[in-house]
Amino acid sequence: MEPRRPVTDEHGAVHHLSRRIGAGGQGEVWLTDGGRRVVKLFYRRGAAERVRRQIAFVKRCDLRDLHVARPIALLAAPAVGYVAEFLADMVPIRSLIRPPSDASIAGWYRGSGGLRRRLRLLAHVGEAIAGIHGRGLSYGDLSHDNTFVSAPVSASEAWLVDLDNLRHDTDVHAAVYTPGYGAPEVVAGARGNSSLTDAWAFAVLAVQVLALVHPLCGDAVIDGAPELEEAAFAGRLPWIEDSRTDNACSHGLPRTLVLGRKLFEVARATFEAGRVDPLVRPGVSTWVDALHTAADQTLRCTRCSSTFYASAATCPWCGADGPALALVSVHRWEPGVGVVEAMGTLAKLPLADEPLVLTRRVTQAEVGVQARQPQVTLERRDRGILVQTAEGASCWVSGPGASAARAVDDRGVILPWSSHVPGWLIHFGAVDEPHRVARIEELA
Amino acid sequence: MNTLQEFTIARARPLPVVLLVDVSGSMLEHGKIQSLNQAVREMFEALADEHDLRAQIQIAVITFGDRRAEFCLPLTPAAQATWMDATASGNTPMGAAFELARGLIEDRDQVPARAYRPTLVLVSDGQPNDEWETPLAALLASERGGKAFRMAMGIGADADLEVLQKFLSVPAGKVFTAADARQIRQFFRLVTMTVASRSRSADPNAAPVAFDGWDV
Repeated sequence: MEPRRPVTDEHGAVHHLSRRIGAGGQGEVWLTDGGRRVVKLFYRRGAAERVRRQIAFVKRCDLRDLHVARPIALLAAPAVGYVAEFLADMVPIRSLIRPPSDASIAGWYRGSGGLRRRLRLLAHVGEAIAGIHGRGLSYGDLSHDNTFVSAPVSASEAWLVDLDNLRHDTDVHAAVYTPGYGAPEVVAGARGNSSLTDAWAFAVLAVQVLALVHPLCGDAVIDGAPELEEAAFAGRLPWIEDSRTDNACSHGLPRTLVLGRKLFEVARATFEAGRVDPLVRPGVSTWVDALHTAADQTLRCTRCSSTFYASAATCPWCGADGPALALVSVHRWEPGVGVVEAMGTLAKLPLADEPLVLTRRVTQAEVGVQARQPQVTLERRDRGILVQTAEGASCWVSGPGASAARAVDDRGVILPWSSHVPGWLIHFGAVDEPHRVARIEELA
Repeated sequence: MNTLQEFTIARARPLPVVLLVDVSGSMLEHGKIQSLNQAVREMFEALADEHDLRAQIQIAVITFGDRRAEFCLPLTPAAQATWMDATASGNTPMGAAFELARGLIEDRDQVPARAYRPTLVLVSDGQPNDEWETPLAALLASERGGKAFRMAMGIGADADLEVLQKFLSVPAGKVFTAADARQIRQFFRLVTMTVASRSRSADPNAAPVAFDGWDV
């Protein structure tokens, strides 16, 4: 599309539109020069009043700390639309769902970050939506068109644009959806948008990004008339991994390879029982936990560099043997008690050849964007495990024999391998208060 | 090098767009053919830019003039289609164009069963000079022709709006009229949007988007 003329907002600021990054039924989203702002332009001038009210409403919602394109200013008349926040260097998540036509699927998947990156990106998308739900709102029109992710493979930011359909209530007369993402009850016209319909759309997005197939489109649907695809999108057919009826799909990546057991169960609960009963659908926060845990438990193959679940003995992509592993398990610790065994293992992470970064989500049980801050990095060395703190963070280690915990400075400390005595503990908080600890043990 | 397992993904579903374009001699007047060429070229570029997850937009162009109708572009994926400027001369064999269109969209090899409903776009500035009623009726009665989305534009004061309305054959269907280059361009932008929006977010209770025109 040719670049458009500059637009002016209500404060008189001028924005130069550089590239169209999205288009919906109601309007278009453009990136501006500089890339940190987007402009949403509505097709219909008659929508002006509705847009004004919606933007005023969204501005009153406290969406700080969420990675969503918060509106900053309305556009000045006669244009209808608004300017919103954005992040530089983002591409639509659609780019992770369909490879270029001549590419090797496995090679392209790996080159765009592979399984681990997709799991983490989806968890970050889910955090934005769960944050919206936590404020009593629903997003409304989730799809691969309004979800953006970092362009560089080394980054995994996710950002939602288009808050036009954010709402507190549910209104069957104002329901919106993108074909393929509409929950069955919305497509049928029986219900409006809600956090449950967002959960359905999120599940569809997650399966597409991970497995490169639509969860409702089996081979018969793909090869059949478009009316069959409509029926599938409306939820009238079973999903492609349904336990009872066959709508199998021979395309995409094996679901066992990319979903793992826990995520598979969450998908099953959404697309089987949750197809007819929205109330039993797993919420987006369930997805976020499962996605983060799944990402935590991936390994990188030493031969082909693809990432896969640690539960596999060999790399499912190329067949190479999996790397030697140590298990990092996270527990609760209380003064006077020590490790609270009754609470079990709070997190399990494999430690192989790559450094393992433990973020505050794992070490402090925090959630959301703030939880992405690293606290401690672990790395295998010949002598043992190198423990280092991230800048500005602290941790302590206590050794076998329960000597006092000592602080780890920025040079780090190496915990020597030990197989005969209870091992070291890494403390993520001061020993005079309850906190989380990590244990490390070599796996055979 | 290490060999990775190989996988497949589902092929995109074709979304055929067939233009039936009047290139009779009268199109030489008032720069109509130039405006048309420019507008169609822009539409091609816009559609080539569409990256739909499930649909592959394909374009075919039938020109009618000079006592015959022919494919100046066979059905081609939009990403690979380039527009070569059409030249105008002769009369207006619209009926022959209807025949060619029907032949194309009913051909299961070119338009497989899994294709999305085609969009047919008819553009003319005058009256047909050939037998057009029977071929039009056959087109509308055919399985794909009847289900196709149809859009029509009459250019200039001599366009036969009745024929165009019959082509739409939907009582609420609106024949667009263009008096100048800007309106010709707007029509093709609307065609682009209509094609591209078929996979976009839907408000099932809203009327189809009427393009007010930009004022940016």
